[in-house]
Amino acid sequence: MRFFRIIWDGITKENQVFKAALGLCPTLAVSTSVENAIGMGVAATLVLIGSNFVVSLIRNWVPKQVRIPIFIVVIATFVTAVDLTMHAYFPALHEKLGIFVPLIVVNCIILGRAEAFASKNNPFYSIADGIGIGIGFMLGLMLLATFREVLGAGTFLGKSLGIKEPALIMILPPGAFLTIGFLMAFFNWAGGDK
Amino acid sequence: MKGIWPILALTIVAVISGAVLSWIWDKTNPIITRMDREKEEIARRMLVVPEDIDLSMIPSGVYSWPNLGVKDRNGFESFKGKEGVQEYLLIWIDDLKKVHVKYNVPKDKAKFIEKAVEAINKSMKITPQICGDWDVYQLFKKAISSTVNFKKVLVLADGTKIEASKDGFIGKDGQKYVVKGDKVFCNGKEVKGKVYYIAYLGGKRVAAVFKVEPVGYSSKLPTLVAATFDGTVLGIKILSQSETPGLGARCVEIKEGEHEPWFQKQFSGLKVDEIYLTEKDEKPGKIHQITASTITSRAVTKGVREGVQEFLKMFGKEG
Repeated sequence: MRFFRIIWDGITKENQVFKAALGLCPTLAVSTSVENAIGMGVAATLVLIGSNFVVSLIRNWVPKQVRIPIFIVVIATFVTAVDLTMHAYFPALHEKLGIFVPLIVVNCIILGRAEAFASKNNPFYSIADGIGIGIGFMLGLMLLATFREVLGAGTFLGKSLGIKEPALIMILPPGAFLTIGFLMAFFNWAGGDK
Repeated sequence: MKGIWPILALTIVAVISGAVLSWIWDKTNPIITRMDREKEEIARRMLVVPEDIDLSMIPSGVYSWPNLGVKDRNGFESFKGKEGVQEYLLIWIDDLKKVHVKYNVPKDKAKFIEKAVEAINKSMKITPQICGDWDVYQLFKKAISSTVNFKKVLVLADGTKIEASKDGFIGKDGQKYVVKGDKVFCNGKEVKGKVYYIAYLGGKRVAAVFKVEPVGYSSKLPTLVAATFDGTVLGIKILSQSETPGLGARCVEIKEGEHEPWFQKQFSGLKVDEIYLTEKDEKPGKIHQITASTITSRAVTKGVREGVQEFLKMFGKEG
């Protein structure tokens, strides 16, 4: 079924972190620990599904000249609404994810999918794309965060692994670039890309 | 017409978004403000109650968490739950300082409460060890913290102190001062001033709680500070922050197996001249900084130190 095909592609072939190299700013910033990675991943997935759906609904109606500003307004509205609702009704969750939600406005993956997929496909498939890309983004973040947290802080999901002197550089920005460089090289090699 | 349509479309989308968001804002903002105020109120009380609660300091009476409105022994004995309150702890400390409780808590916590009451009555103290379970200890502490009374004092930049009365802050010359959030207004004009919450425990003046607001790496760090009148910090609590995850945000990190943020806990019991970082600060102090987050660590440390200094300047003579 095409619905699941789209989800699978979003995780593998179209993986935004390793294949498209989009959304690197939040990726590098929050992959300092696995917990943060999961938080950012969940928040981004929710917004992706929502914004993909709305953009797809209005796709035939939006004039070409102003589509980007309109998409941005839709995304920003969605993010703000999610942020406020979460803060008021799920305060415990907001305390954990709160810092990631505003970051999503400037996440180019969301705008990228609105432009590349949702504005050309129906709402049903757009939701599938949102789920797939979201999960792909989350898995990418978690993989990156696992390396950085284990090597840089000597912990996994906050639990100590008994590493005596972790390499601090891994949780600092240079560590992020190093890790993503190696991982990207690996996936391109494993995927057979030239 | 064709040229106008894109402008019109963008305007329509913007107007709809604006309308949706202001509707959501109206619904959520009162809840968020109320929660923030409650959180601050609880934090303020909890900071004043010492970690080891000595029952001889606590006046006899009935205390509860959350506030159940029970005032005396009769109320305690006839209490059979309150509508809308599922989880509660009601404590009655009788004249012999014996503790009696009524409670409704999750099953796994209930067994700790019975044991804790026995132990508390033996040692006349409430501590985390005696309670045997952190959540139960927190429940006791929260209930006991309802005994703390606050007297609000507004201190203006020139040192004038105005105590809060029923009608708010009224100066000697009859001027009315209005406090909104962290700002103070007088006749519609903003004036410099700060509200100190003077805490009374068992009728004795024990400490003052005030707010400082240092600026960290990427956010403001509103922080409550509780200090005694000789200038010892009882504790601090960072109310909110949005520092870098994994770095500055660790100022609220709770380590595995612990219950309180280690960075903030370091401040408890320090004097003014000890509130410096151990390294990279004007003077060597006692606060260990968060790895790779000098700016956040320094901001909080400096903010707390200056807050205490100002507090001592204003209230020091009374101590």
